Amino acid sequence: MAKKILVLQLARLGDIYQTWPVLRALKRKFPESEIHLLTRRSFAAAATGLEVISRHWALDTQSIIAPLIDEIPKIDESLVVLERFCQSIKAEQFNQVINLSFSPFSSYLMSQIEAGADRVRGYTRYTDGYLRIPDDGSAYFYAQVGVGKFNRLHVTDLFAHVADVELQDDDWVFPQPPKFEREGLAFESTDYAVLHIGASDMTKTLSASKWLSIARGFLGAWPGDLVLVGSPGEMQIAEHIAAVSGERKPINLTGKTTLPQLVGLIQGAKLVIGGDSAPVQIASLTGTPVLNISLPSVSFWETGPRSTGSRILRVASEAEISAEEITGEALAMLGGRISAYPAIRVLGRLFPYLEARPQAGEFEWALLRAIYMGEPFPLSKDAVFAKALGQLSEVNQLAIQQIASLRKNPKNTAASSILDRVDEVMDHVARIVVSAEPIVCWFKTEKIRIGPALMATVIQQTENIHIKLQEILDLYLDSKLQKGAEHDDLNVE
Amino acid sequence: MNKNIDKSESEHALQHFLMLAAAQLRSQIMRKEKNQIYGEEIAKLRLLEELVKEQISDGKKDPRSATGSSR
Repeated sequence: MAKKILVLQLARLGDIYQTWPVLRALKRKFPESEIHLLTRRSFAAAATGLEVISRHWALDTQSIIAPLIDEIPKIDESLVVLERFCQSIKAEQFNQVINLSFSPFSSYLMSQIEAGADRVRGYTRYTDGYLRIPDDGSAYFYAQVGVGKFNRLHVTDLFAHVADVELQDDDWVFPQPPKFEREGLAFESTDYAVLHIGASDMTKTLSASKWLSIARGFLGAWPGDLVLVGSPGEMQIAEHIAAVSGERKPINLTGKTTLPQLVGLIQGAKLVIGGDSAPVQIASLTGTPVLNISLPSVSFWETGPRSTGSRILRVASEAEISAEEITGEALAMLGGRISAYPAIRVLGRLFPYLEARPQAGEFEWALLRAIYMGEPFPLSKDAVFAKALGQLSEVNQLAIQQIASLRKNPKNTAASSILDRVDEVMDHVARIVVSAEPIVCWFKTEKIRIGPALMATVIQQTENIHIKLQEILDLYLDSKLQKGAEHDDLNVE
Repeated sequence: MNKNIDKSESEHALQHFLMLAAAQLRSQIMRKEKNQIYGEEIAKLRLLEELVKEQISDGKKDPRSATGSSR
């Protein structure tokens, strides 16, 4: 009997498209396996065309919560629907279950359906309800990924790490023949660019007035068409832009395309222009170049475009860049000209931003690579960082002493409460000295990963993590990594 | 315009019911956690609670935002 793998992707459209390459790599690694994908029903269309999937499961949230929409919520009825869904998945007896979702709900769902699987990756729950992070990829995600953090890896690469697969360039493709869904649209142009004005969160995109100026400027200078796309919720803004553009109007298909039609449109486009949103992720799969306007509420290095030839305009706010500059950049891309703006260029789908990592946070990123990827620890001559590590070391040694007394007397409540305070102090230090944050986040996550066990085992595992922390701190506190230049023999950056 | 008002009213009503359900779920979970150790029953209630909480936040919350605590 063929082995079965279930992959959960319960986030939004963009994350589902960013999961496609990972599923292809999974199929390559386990060619005889059946791969099943679980998404939310509302985003199920994002799996259309994904040829490596044997079965697509859709979580129907509406049917589960329907009994709750009442002055007296029928919780038991909802539980029955939910239970039926979980049982139907469990009945498949999956050998591997991989959660690429990272949400609290997905972790509880995993704990309901993973029983019997030989291999579980991604967030789930221990038998006592605590969050369980079984693999290092997910632990890295938990500790170090998100806006304001120092991760520099793309989400697709992180998904691949969680699933334990290697990606290759042709994992980013859409099935042939191309333009497979264009037929359903009243749209004939072959020379056009796509403009997506929306996003899942409006802080990820520009204002309507800015898009209007861009559309007007673009159509005034480029002979091809401009197609507006987006969800039904974005129709009003799109209608406004379409109505008041200059002599040449954009073709407004906002709210009028199915997801497969949108894919077909993007596949045939010369360029996609937009903020951080699903069309950018679709373009990564179709190989369509993207002009991505990246605002601070997102990290382009985590979710930006990967199609070769794409460019990213990273701005602190939309006021920092004019509509003319954005239009100029779009025209430069279409004309094959070099950038007039300091744009970040995507050179290839694999490792797309190696040349363009943000300068801020470079030390912290090196620290992350040292902790998680076995690279040398970076040098630091920063006195504030040294002081922060000194304080961490002080409280860590206090913690190690308390653990020793807990081992003698597990009911020592004073020791337990000091340990809680130690965690608070560490949090505080990381908040004040952000360069120490990667170390503290790693430490806290490793403690979360300790599972239910006899008290003696929990104490031992906790102590091991504090000892590992001390080893990292000592690397700096014994001054070798702080004097740097005086220690040329050290294998450090 | 009327359509938008209708939509907004129905969304408001939906949020009301979801918040009501979330409060009842929380209260059931707390009651059960007081009287019994964590098991299948509480796990299922927590699962439903998280689903309802997601609907209340209506996608505004980062979908990659689980948190945990250490032992």
